[in-house]
Amino acid sequence: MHDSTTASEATTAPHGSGPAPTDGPLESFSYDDAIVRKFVTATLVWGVVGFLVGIVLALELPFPWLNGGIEWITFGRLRPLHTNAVIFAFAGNAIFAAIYYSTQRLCKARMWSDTLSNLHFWGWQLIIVSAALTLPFGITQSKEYAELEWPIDIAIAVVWAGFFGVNFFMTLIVRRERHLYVAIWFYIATIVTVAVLHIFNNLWVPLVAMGTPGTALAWFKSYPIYAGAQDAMMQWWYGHNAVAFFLTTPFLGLMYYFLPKAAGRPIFSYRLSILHFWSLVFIYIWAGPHHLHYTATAEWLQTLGMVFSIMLWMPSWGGMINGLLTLRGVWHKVPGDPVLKFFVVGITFYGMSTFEGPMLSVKSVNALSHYTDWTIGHVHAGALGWNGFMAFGMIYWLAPRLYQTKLHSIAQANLHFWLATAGILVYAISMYVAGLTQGLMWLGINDAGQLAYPDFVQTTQAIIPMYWIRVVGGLLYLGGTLIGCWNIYCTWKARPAKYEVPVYQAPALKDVPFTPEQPPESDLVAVLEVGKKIDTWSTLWWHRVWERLPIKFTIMTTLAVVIASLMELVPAFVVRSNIPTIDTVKPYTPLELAGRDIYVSEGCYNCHSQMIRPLVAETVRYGDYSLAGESIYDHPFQWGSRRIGPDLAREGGVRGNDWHVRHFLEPQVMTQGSIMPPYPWLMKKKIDFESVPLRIAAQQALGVPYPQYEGDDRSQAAEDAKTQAKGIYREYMQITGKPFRDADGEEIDLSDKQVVALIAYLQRLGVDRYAAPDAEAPVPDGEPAAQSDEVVAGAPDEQGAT
Amino acid sequence: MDWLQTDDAIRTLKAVGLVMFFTIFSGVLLWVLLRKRSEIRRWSELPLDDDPPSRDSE
Ligand code: HEC
Repeated sequence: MHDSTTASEATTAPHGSGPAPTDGPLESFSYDDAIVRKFVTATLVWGVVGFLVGIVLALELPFPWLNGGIEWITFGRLRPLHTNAVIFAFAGNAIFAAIYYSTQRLCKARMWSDTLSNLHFWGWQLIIVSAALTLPFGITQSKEYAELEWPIDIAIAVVWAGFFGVNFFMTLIVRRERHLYVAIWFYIATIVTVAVLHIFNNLWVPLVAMGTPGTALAWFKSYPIYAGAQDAMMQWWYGHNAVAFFLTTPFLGLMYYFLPKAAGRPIFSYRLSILHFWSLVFIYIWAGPHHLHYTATAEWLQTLGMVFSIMLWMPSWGGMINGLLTLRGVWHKVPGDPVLKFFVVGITFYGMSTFEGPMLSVKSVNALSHYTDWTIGHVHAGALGWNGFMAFGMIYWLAPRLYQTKLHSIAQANLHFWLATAGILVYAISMYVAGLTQGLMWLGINDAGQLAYPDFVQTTQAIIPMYWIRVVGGLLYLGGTLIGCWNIYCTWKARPAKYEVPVYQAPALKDVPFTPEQPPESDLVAVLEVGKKIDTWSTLWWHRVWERLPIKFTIMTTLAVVIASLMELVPAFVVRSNIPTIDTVKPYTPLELAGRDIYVSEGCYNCHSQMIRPLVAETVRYGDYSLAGESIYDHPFQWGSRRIGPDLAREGGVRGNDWHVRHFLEPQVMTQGSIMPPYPWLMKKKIDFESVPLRIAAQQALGVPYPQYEGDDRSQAAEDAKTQAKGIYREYMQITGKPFRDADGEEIDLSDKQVVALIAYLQRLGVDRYAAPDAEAPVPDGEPAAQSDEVVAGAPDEQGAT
Repeated sequence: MDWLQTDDAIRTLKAVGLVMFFTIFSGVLLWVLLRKRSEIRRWSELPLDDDPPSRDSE
C-alpha cells in the first residue's frame, strides 16, 4: 500500500553516521504530508470551538441566566462538551499531526496505508461531531472524559485501534531505520494504553440489550457494569491515565522530536529520555486514586496513589530539564523564534504542572484543594500551558514545511505567544485564588465549633470576581489562538500551486546487513558455569535484540501498564472488606432510578458532589461522612469532582418537595446569590415511563436486586413509577394548597413530569443508612430482599477498609 | 478469587509488586548506563537527520 518502488542502483552513499553499509538496493519513498495538513487544520478548528465553549461556560457561572432557558447549552450539559473538545479534538488532532509527521521520518517510511490514515482522520472528526451532537442532548455516561455513550465508544475503539493503531504499527514494521527513536516509544505507550483504558472503563449494559426502547434518548442509554466505589476507582484509573497517556506521553514524544529540530541540536541527554519514558510508564498507572482522597475507598489505595504521584515528580522534572537543557547554546535564538518561545513556555508549564500535581496528591493539601477551582487552575495550566503551547509551537514549525512557503507573519506569531502567555497566567492565578478562598471558607470553623460560613452561597459569592478575571484570561488565550489561525490561514493561502513531494531513498531493513546480537563471552575465570551465564546476561546484550523489535517492545510496554493496573485494581475489587454492605441500603425505586438518570443526563454532577469526606467542617455542613456501602447500587457513581454547588449526598429529607420545585424553577429566588441555572424544562418534559422496565431490567442484569420485577412482572415497574409520581405531586399540592402554575400562570399537572422523578431521587439521597432495619422498603409494593451474602448488619460506622 | 481475599495475599502482592518494579527499574537504569556513547549519539541525532540527503525529485 505504501508506494515504494525499488531503484535499481544506489545513487548516493548512505547518509549519517549509521553503521549499516548499504548492500541492498535502495527503495524510493515519499512522505504523506497531506494527512498532517489535515490534522493541523482540525487542531486549529477544534481548538477555537473548544476554547469558545469554555468562555461560554466561564460566563454562565456568574450569569446563570445566560443559557436563555435553552436546555442544550446549560452548564451541566455543556461542560463535558468543552472538556471533550479540548482534550480529544484539540489536543487529539495535535498529537495525530505530530505522530504522522514524525513517525514517517523517524522510520524512513511512508505511513503504511493512506486509506487507513484517512479513515483515521475522518473517523475521528466524525466522533467529535457526534460528541457535539449528543452531549448537549443529555446523552452521557457521566464519567468524566468518558461521557460519550456506548455507540460512540465502539466507534472510538474501531478508529483508535483498528485504523490508527494498525496503520502505526504496520509502519513500524516496514520501517527503514532500525533504531526506534524515543519519541516512537512514547507513541507506542500512548496507543496501547489509551486502548486499554478506554475499553475497560467503558464496559456497559445498554438498554437496547433488554428490549426495544421507545425513545431515541433511551436507545443511547447504558449503565456501566461497575457500581459505586468500584466505578469510582475504574473511572479515576481511567481519568488520571487519560491525562498521562493522552495529554502527557504523546506530547513528550512531540517534544523529543520537534524540540531538537527547532533548536537544531540533539536532545540534551538521550539516556535521560529513556529513563523518563520507563519511569512514566511504570509510575503513572498507579497514581489514579489520588482523585479519591478521603472518599469512601480503601485508605491503602489512596496512600498508594499519593506515594506514586509524588514519585512522578522526579521523572517529570527530569524530562523538563532535559528539554530546557537542549537549548544550551541556542538560548540567544529563543527571543526571535516564536517556535522556540512556545516550546520553552510549554515545557516550563509541564514542569509546573508536574510539580503541582504531586503536591495536590498529598492528602493534607488535597483536603483543602479537592472540589475547588484549584483543580480547575491546575488542569488549565496543563491543557493550555503545556498541551496548547507545545501544539502551537509545533504548528508554527510545521507551517512553512507543510505549506512550502514562508510563515505569513513572525510578528503575529509573537503576538499570539504573548496573548496566550498572559491569558494562561491570568486564568491560572485567578483560579488558584478562587480555589484557595473557597476551600478555606468551606473548612472555616469558629471558636464555638460552628461553620464560619454556614451558607454555601457565601463561598460562591466570594469568588465571583475571580470568575470575571478568568473570563479575561480565557479571552486573551482565545484571541491569541484566533490570530494564530489567521496566520496559518494566510500561510496556507500563499502555498505553491502544487506541493512538491520529495522522494527519498533508503535500503529496506532486510537488505541492511545486520549481525544478530550474540551473547558476549564472559571473561570471568574460575567461576561456575552459571556464574559466567549471569555475567553474560548482566551485560544486557539481549535487550539490544528486543529494542529492535517493535512488537516485543510493545508487549513490554503493555505488560508494564496492565500488570500495574491489575495490582492496583484487583485487590480493591475482590477483597470483600473493601465494601462493607449496609443492610438498610436498598435499590432505588423505578421512579427514583428514572430521576437518577435525569440527574446524570442534566450533568448535575458537574456542580454537585455526592461524597462527604470525613473532615469536621464537612460533616458539620452536610452530615455524616459517606460510606462505600451507601453507593453499591449506583451504576454509575455520582461522587463528582467539583463543588460549584453544595454536596447532595444527604439531600434526602432536607427540603420539602415544594421547595425543590420552586428551586428548579427559580434558584435565585429560593437562595439569594445562587448561581445554579434555572431548569424550567423539567416542569414541561415528560418522564419516559415506557423505558422504565428496561432500565430496571438492565440494573437487574448488573446484579441489582429487584425480585418484585422479575420476568413478567417487569412492566409493573412502570406502573409503580407512575403511582409514586402521582403521590409526590399530590403531596406538593397539599403543601402549597394549589396546583402548579408555570411562569405564564398556566396550570400544569406535574405528576408525569421529569421534575417529579428528579425530586424522588433527591429525597432518597443518603437516607437509607438511617432507615430502621425492618422498615418497609421504600418500594410501593413488595419488599426487596437484599441478595448480597455479605451483609454487614446495619453498621453505619463502618468506613470502607480503613 | 477467594485466595486473593486474605490479608496474607495482599501482603504478598505488595512485596511482589515492590520487588518486581524495583528490579525492572534497576534493569532499565543499568541498560541505559551501559549503552555505548557512540550508539547513544547516533540515536539522539535521528530527528535531525531524518531527511536523507539522497533525494532526487520527480
Ligand atoms: C452551575 C452549577 C450547578 C448546576 C449545573 C446545578 N446546580 Fe444545584 N446548586 C448550585 C448551587 C451554586 C447551589 C447553591 C445555591 C442554591 O441553593 O441554589 C445549588 C443548590 C442545589 C440544591 C439545594 C441544596 C440545598 O439543600 O441547599 C439542590 C437540591 C440542587 N442544587 C440540585 C441540583 C440538580 C438536581 C441539578 C441538575 C438538574 C443541579 N442542582 C445543577 C449549582 C448548580
